[in-house]
Amino acid sequence: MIVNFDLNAIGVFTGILAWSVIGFFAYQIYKKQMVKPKVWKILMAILVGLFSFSINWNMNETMFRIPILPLGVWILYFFCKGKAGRWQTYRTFAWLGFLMNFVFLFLTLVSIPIYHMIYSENEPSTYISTVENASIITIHPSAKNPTLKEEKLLKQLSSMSQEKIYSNQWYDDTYKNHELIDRKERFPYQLIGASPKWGSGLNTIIYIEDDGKGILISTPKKQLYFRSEESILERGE
Amino acid sequence: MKKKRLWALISLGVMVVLSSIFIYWFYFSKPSPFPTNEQLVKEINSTPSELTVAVIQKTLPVDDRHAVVPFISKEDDYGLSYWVWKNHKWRVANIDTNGGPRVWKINRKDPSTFYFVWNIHHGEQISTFYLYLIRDRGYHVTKGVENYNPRVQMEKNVSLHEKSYGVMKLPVEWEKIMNSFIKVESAKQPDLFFNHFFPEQTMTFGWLPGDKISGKEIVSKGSGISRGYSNGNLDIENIGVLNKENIELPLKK
Repeated sequence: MIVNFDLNAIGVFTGILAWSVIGFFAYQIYKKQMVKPKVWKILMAILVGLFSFSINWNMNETMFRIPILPLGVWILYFFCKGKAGRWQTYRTFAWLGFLMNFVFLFLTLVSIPIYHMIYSENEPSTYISTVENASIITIHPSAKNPTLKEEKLLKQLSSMSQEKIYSNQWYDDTYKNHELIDRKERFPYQLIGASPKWGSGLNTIIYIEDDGKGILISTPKKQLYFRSEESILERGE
Repeated sequence: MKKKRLWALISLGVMVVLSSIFIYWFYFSKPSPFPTNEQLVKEINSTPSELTVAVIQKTLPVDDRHAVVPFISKEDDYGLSYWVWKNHKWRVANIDTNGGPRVWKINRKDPSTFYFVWNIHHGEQISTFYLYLIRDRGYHVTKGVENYNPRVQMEKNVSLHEKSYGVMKLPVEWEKIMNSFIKVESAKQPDLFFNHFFPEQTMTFGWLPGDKISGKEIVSKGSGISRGYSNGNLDIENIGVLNKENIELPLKK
């Protein structure tokens, strides 16, 4: 079983912050209110209140939920209206639940630039930070059997320059004038076991170019291509 | 009155203990030794496969609770039977008279539980074959964002010297490559519970005989009558025969 240890620290922190905000406001309301309902009932009212009709808006591969209709509040209203005074007791908590949707939205909007500040998208060191357990796996027969030079890779990381991906051209070059018999893969190696920067929660596939000087990084959202001055591989047989 | 209640309590306690022991014995206890060849033949012959076993070749353990038993049928077909320790009994879960290479996925989501199995007719002029893990080369440009996917073509040579059958765990390197794909593909889908990504959606297994003879000829040997049985619970993927034209840099053989 693959267990996902790749923790998104910013996401976890945002979540904790959001729930602390809920806790804080719920306590304020509780203090002010004359009728003191049971804690688990307050929790239920807030959770039901969170339920809303919302529009999902996808920007830069991140999903934003914009709450429109307070469905949960309505449901709770119909549930409570039978008994006098019950709605009064839970109303504020239900609305707090609905308003929390906006807090979540706000925190998401704020956390994204922070995430990008800490885990810069265009820095190779975001994707490759520790290489203690890293190794090279050959994924195509046109490759030699090289070994990875870890120190060299780490040293080159900061000076690598980002280059454009010519996907169409790379693809065509592979087939043009190359029969099956001498067809070479441009990226015949994969770097396995390198960890991304702590807390980034990133999953990547990292390909290495046949000259050992280029790395092509596939994230779930996009691809990035970096070139270095020297090869990070040692040629084998 | 008090005595009655005490007895009720005691018998309830005894019942709980007994049923826990039974549940443990039934579902979780260590598998018993594998059945003898006679028992295996009896069980295979009694399935609705209309198959009669002539020879049990060997018992190949896969892990604690799974085993493969290659056999030769009365009609001289080389086949495989798949055995699972379940509900406190070794049970045959799948039988196939076509012994071409397959992947038995004990857990479909976890490549570390994938096993290649085969039983290829020994009479042929085939002494070796190659297994492949392939993902096609590709590129796409979406809204100006370029993507290039290198070709994955990994190869493993298997010798049929002296034995027509075998079980082989997925090579560790293949497992690592597949896992890295699964991780990235799963992260593309926001909902992990309902959309689990399976590696076979982009990566395929294939095989190629190592000798002059083509794969299709080998598979069609034998009686030509395909017999089999499945209880439907196993995940066994049939591996397709590749053409030499599907392989890049085929010169090495």
